Amino acid sequence: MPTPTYELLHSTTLASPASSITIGSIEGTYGDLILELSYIPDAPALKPYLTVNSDTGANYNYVLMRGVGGTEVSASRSNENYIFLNENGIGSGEIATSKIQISDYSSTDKHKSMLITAFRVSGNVQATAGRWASTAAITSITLTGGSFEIGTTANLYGVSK
Amino acid sequence: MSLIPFGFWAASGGGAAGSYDLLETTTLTVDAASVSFDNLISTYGSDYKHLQIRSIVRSDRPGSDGYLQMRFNLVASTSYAYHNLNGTGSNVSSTAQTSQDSMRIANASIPGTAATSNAFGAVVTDILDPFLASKNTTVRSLAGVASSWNYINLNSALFNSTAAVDEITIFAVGSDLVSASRFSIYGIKG
Repeated sequence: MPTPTYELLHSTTLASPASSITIGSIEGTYGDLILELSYIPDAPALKPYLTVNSDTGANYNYVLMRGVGGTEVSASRSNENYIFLNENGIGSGEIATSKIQISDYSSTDKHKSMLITAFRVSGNVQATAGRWASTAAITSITLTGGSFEIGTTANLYGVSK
Repeated sequence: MSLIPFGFWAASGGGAAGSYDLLETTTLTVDAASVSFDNLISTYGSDYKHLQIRSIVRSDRPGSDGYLQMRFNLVASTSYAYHNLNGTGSNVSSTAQTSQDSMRIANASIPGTAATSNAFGAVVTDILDPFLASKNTTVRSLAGVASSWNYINLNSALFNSTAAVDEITIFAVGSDLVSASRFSIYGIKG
């Protein structure tokens, strides 16, 4: 029996600048999480990164590929303290977007895999595969790395499985 | 409820409530050679325009990396083509194949037996207009893994047939899909 899904779990639109955005108390009733971000940096340039469950230990791994107007780059990072959404950073006044997809976020039998796409309107496009090296269920997501300007939005959706 | 129902690249958008439905899920409790979704036309063909499959996968292929393939309607002849844009962790490359017996929806981004324990590859696959019998069926996917082996790829594929898609089979090359791998299929209304 088809089940309607892709439900909005949380929505934030910043009315004042913020140094971080945290979405907490994420219920574990879905299969995947999808976080849509549209962000505007305040000076200095924003280099947003993601952590989960307030874990700032060396538990994050990721591989990325990025296109920057004629130059292609791929890199991998291991045992990091976070995952950058866009390693190039976002200049002041630019608009950038990211989509973060976390698979089986509430499972306790696997590490948490993520697919992240990021677009910097005047700069680059990047795709990233990430892993949080923990079998704990994800209950919160924090975005940090500079200052998010007024008008930045973060919308979290739950997708049933 | 606000919806952004389709496309892994979509950054914003919207749709009517109930445009994106979970149809079926298979979560493996034992290792399996493949996973299938069948009778799609009679069950879902009149209600949905596109399909999406969200997978979290590991294989028992020796080594660190594995490949996830897909077939339609049990066709195993040379009816498929695909392209992969790959980030290897050190460079960006692309590959292309024609006249294949299946589509590659995850290129070297499924962990094998030597990969980090508990690491799984994530794959999001869009199947466009699978129930239209007037054109060939196209597929796109985003797949990646970050473990002792790192790989990310954006893929496109073609089923060189105008037949509507009634059955989808997903398998790993030369290996089994291991327990705890999960495959969920979603219908998107048009």
